[in-house]
Amino acid sequence: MSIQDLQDTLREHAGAVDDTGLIVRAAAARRRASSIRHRRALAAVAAAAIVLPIAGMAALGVNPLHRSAQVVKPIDPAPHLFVGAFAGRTLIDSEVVTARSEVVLTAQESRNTEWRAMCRGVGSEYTLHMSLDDGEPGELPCDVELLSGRWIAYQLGPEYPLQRQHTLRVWLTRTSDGAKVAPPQGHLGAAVYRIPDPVATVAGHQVQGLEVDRGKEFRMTSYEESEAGDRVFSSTYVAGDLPIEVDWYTSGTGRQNVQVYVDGRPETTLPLGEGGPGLVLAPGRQHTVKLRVLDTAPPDTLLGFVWREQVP
Amino acid sequence: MEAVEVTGRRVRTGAAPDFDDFVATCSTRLLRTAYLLTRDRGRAEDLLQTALAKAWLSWSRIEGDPMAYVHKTLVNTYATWWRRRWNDERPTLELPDPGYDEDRTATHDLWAALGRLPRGQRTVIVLRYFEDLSEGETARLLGCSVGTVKSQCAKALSKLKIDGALVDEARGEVAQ
Repeated sequence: MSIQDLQDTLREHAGAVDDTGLIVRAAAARRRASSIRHRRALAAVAAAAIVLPIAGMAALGVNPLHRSAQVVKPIDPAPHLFVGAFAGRTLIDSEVVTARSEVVLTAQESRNTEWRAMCRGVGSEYTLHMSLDDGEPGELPCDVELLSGRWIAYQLGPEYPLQRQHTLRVWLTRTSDGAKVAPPQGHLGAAVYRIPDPVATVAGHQVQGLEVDRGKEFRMTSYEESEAGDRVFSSTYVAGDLPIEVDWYTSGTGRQNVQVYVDGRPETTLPLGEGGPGLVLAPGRQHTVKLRVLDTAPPDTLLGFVWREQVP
Repeated sequence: MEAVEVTGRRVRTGAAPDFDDFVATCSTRLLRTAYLLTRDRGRAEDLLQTALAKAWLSWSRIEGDPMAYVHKTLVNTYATWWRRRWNDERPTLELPDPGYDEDRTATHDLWAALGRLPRGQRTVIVLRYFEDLSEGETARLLGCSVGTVKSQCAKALSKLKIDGALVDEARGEVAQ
């Protein structure tokens, strides 16, 4: 057989494909895109909730990923887990329970909402889980406690309908054996907040103008995004008199991991496609952050940074 | 809420055409490529829609002609997402009836042989001999070296029992 035979065979079989889906294809692709964006949002916020405590503990000189690290005990557990307003967010509804393993919150709210789960004072041997509409669950170990409690959240952006019923399920498991259990002390809560429109989309992730870290608000001042397919991307920012925060975001179709470097030191890794609020950095000096895809970067890889300054 | 001043840095040299126009004019060709890769009409549509959905998310950032971008996304999606999707294949004691027919044509044999090629080699064959891409264009699309394209192509042609002289020619290219 010859190359011509090969080409004829390929063309014959390709030509026999009857394209009956052409009329609805663009709309179908948009619907699928919305689903992908939703999944990315879930992953992004789940990652953010894990990264934020790391940032806080790094400032205290404690490595929370090291099991022998000092565990900061929760202070004064209180039922008021969710404040009425912060960082542009406004509380719509919440549920807080004690001595129970699960709490469920249902609300007729959709567009521009943030669905938060939080535990406080339950102890370090538990893992917090949440699932919105029985979708991909997010989880967060409770082995290190910040003064502000442990939280994790999903965000629904402006592409969602104004009102649609969503159900947030939040539960606790014992980390050692995965059993769903009710802790003898502390509180478990679920809340839905109204959030402002995102101010930018960075590497496929919708980004809020304000974020909070350890009670301090940080306002976005700039962002940078790589060219599609870039494997390495870095950014530098000069902090003024107040601390700054850097957030990192990634997207792409591969299963690679991305290494984060802060001021030349490896900080953490995250799966390609995830991102979120990262570290609070010291004032009065220049900081450089870098993302490096560990392996070949898929052609649709996007890497990005958001820089924030603390609100005085 | 107080307005947030945001500065950004994005480099764009040209605007992409309307997404619907692009799908209307280009997606049939992409569907056929997807079919040659997957060899299943339903999976081809699934693969194409996934690639288009990913492209839609980045549409405002695509510079100039988005065909290359979507093409690349489609091939890359086939190489990664498809690998996971097929991980749940289960072995079976009884092989399905291949429907062997001694009278089938050489072309039919060739199509069957194409189906037995490893995913990477099949992708190279489709890009080189259906899409008529050069070795360099194929390498850029797959994110690999030209040497890899040449060696994958030579191995595939050998398995397909394409004319010996042509196989030798392909191998010669590798040696160069």
